[in-house]
Formats: sequence, structure tokens, C-alpha cells
Amino acid sequence: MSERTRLPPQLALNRFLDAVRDEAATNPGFRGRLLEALAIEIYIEGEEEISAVDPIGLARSKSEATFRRVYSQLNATALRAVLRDADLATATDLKGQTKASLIDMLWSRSRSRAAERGLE
Amino acid sequence: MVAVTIYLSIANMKGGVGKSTTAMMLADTLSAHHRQRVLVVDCDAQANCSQMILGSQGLRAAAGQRATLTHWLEDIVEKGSGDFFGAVRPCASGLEEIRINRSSSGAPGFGDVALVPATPELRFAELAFDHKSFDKRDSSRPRQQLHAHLCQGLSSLGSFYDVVIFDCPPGFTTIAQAALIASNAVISPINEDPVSLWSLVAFRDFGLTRTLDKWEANAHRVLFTKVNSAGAAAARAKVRSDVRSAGFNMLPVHIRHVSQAVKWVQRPAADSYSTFAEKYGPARQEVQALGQATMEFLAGVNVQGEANV
Repeated sequence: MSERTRLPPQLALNRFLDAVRDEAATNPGFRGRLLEALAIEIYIEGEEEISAVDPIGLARSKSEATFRRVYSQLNATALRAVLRDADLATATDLKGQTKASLIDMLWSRSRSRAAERGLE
Repeated sequence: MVAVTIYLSIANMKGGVGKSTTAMMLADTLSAHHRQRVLVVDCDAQANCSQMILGSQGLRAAAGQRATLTHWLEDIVEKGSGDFFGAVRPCASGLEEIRINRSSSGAPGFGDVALVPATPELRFAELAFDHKSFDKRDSSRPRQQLHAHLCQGLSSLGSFYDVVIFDCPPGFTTIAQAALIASNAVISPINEDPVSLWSLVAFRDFGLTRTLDKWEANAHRVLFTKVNSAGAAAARAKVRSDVRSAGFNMLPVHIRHVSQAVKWVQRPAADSYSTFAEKYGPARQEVQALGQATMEFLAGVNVQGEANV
């Protein structure tokens, strides 16, 4: 990369977009940020896709029904991981919780955190 | 066993040495392991201790109800008196063990933690108080007046609390001075670096001794925090040696640098709880030892003779 290469404009753009596409394909967090920036309705499904979404951003931008529909696709173990990864719950908080109560907790705490951050 | 209310300041002029974290650790271990009823008074406008104990939402709720040290002081500035009793948030502990004990009647195994929270506006309320009580013939007037108000507020609590912990801000603000005058004992957290020691010496010589005429070696302990045992062993040993040479007594425990500290900054939610082991992780035994060492330290403090409340 030390030498500057002269490229036709279209080839330069293609290389740049290839790099973005490759990163988005392998990095769920980066993919999530790109999708959020697009600000269009995206159908999220599958544990990997859902786990990569920021629940606080989703609670801010989507209705409660959509939020619950998305997270109801996860099992209780995956929901616990989402809550812990987002620092929305301690291990003590998660003990003995059912899938339904975990989704309730995820919704209410994501909304509260969004409000704390002034994202409402 | 502590027989009467002890007033303990966690204070040092240097910021970032772990004062608020130490205050929270002490509140947790003294309540959970020594049955002490603890009141933490957050005197720091950074409000770190308040956020750690109440969570952001809990702190906002307290501010919404005007139940903070900030509002107490604003009322003093505007009306001449404030409701300190009303600013106390009882049962504020986020420890699961204490929550369980609280809900099961007839099992007085633990104390509890209450908090008088601070908000960022505290510094401006303090400035307004300073301006109002300024007297060019008597530079001690602001701290003496604020100390009198603080004593009045603490008296309104009776002897309900075994230990009152003042989490003092960095520097040497009027609130910090009032808290230090009211205290029987002081613990100064410092890090293992030469500037921390420099700050500690200034705190003692210029602050406690020259300004407040209050320093006594037996009522003051130094606590090393954020200890990282990797590297620079000789330099760190020299700081400890210099602390001793400067005439300070150290608590026989230190708190290591642990990644959990990042999570202590925010309680996940106002209704979130952690067990002691979960909250402190690899540092839990050190935090418990800090509680034991502090109880032994406070037992040796001349409470009747030194108390200024």
C-alpha cells in the first residue's frame, strides 16, 4: 500500500464496495450498523442476525410488537446472552427467568437505556 | 462492634484513584458481612457513587423527586434550610443477599445501604453557597456554615446508621471540607504512583493540617487501589515505602485492578441485583478483607473525642 496506484474510477469504487461487502458478510456488528444506517425496514431472522442487532437501537426505532416478534425467535439461552452482552442484566437478574419474562425484561430495559441516552 | 454512628470520609485530592468505588465497596461489605447500617453521602458532583448504587434511572428518579444532596444545598442557598432526611434513599443496596434478607422478615443477618445521592449540578449549588457565605475577613466561613448545616441534617437521622460514609470529590471543595470536619476517620485511596503520594501529602499538610487543623495519624488510613502487580515492581515498592516514611498508616489490604470495575460504573437497571461474588469477581476476597480491616480501624478510632457532629 506504500505506492499510490492509478485506477479507473469504476474499478476503484468496485474495490471499495467489495471490501465493504466482504466485511459485512463476516462481521455481524458491522452489518448491523450498515443496516441501521439504511433506515429501511429489514426483516431480521435467525439467531446470528438477531444477536448482532443492538436491542437498544431496535427498541428506539421499532414498535413494541416488532421488537417482541424479532426476539421471540430466540430461545432463552440466546436471550440471556443478548441481555448480558448489552449490560442490561446481571447473572442474578437472569436466574429463573422464562423466555417470556426475558423478552419483557429486554424490552423494558432497552427502552429505559434508550431514554437514559437521550435517544427517545 | 461499632456502638455509635461513625463518620468516615473517603477522601484524597487526586481524582481517579478509586474514591467512589471504595465508598461503594465499603458500603457493600460493611452491610453484607458486618451487619452495619450504612449511609453513603455522595459529596461528589461527578455522581459516580450515586450512579453505581442507584443506577442511572434510580438517580434520575431521585432527582425528579428533589431528593438529592444537590437539592438540599440549593434549598439552603434559597431558603436558608434544606431537608436532609428527605434526601436519603433507603434500601438502596444492589446486593442480592441484602434484598433477600430484606424481604424475609425476622432474619436480621445484614444491615442495609442508604444513599444521599448527588447530581452534576451539585458543584453549582456549592458555588452559589460559597458566594453567599463568603466573608473576606473570615475565609473559613463557608466551610463552617456548611458544616453546621450538614451536622443539622445528620442529626435529623438520629442514631439509625452505624456508619456514615462521605464520598468526597477530588480537590478540596467546601462540601469536602465540611464532611472532613464532621468525620471521625478518613480513608484515602491512592494508586501506586509518585503523583498519588504527592497529592496525598498535600491533602494532609495543606488540607487536613493547615486548613482544618484536624489531621491525626491514628484516624487516617491509606488504601492502595487499582493495584496492578505486573511490572515496575521496584517503583511501586518505593511508593509504598515513601508512604510509610511520610508518616502515613496503611490498611493491611489492597484492591487489585480488575475488569469488573468497568461494569461497576453502571447498575444495569434500578431493579437489577448482583450477588457479592458476582459483583466483585476476583476482587471479592480483597473487598471483604477491606471491610474487616476497616472495622478494626474504626474500632480503634476515638469516636467520642473526635466526632464533630
